[in-house]
Amino acid sequence: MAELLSHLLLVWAVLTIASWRLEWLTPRWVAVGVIGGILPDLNRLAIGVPERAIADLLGVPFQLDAIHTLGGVVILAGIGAMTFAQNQRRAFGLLFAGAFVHLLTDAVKSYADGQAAMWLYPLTSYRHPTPNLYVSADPEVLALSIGVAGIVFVVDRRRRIRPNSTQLREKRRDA
Amino acid sequence: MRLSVRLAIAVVLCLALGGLGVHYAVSYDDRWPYPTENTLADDYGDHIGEETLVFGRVTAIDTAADELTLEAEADDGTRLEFVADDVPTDGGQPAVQEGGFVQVYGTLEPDGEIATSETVVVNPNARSETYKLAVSAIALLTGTAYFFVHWRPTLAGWEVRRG
Repeated sequence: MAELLSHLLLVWAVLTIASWRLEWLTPRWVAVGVIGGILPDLNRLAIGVPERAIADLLGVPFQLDAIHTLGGVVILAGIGAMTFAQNQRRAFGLLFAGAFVHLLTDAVKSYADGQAAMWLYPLTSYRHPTPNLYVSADPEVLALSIGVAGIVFVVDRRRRIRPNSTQLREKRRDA
Repeated sequence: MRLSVRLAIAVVLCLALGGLGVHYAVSYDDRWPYPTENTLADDYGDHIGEETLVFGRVTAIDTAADELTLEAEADDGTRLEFVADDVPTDGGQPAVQEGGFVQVYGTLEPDGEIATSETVVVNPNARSETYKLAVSAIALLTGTAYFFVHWRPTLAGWEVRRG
């Protein structure tokens, strides 16, 4: 996986671009999507809570890496959506969208055998070919993510400052 | 949706997540196309001549012999040592240092040796992991702060922060 900052910047950029077409996708819902971008990396909890300890407690093998898959993020997005007082379906959609962008970004990183991780689990164990675009420690990945997010931020600010076509029509009508 | 219903669904989903983690672990060795560290820890000899993809920490580099020694770990903590017959280079220098992390794809040979087809340097040195953790910690803090700008916790769940 890339470091988390690149993932969150890309999730924010993708959802912000989507918000230019979707009126309901306001910054508060983009923020929910950004939290979704964190979900796949919750398997990193293994750093603080050894999987072996969990397996010993359960009495069966257990791997937190299940979280870093399609099935894992669907369930986590579902759990997250249940913590919202209203609009749980929309919360689920945004949490899942953020997590999915994260998984897609990971799907193009380098593997020595040229095939990506089994991230489509549990639907399939298929490992699709990867273009081997990057490894997680590449500082260039973070630089590129900052660049993309920066461009989207500037364009987004300009769009917010500039009145949209509906507002312009209303102004002309009032005149 | 009522709070009690949401709580019930969340409990069911937490159980499903636990089940997924167990199934993932139990089925992993069958789903992964190469012998895993667990398999190799149990019966290395049965897999000699097979293709493998090993993830491990670099413990030694011998540029004269063009050999990279790496250590991988099975789920039960058993440590496995492999020697790959390729030291990846960058500008004439080894692209990885001791403490770095690599993927090695190749064919298993006796005594932990791997006839290497391809090596990917994941972490060039031990500091790379610290870099990733530090940057990820910054992301976790800023991402959470961004969320809290728009949402506030209440007893009924997250609600829009107004004003």
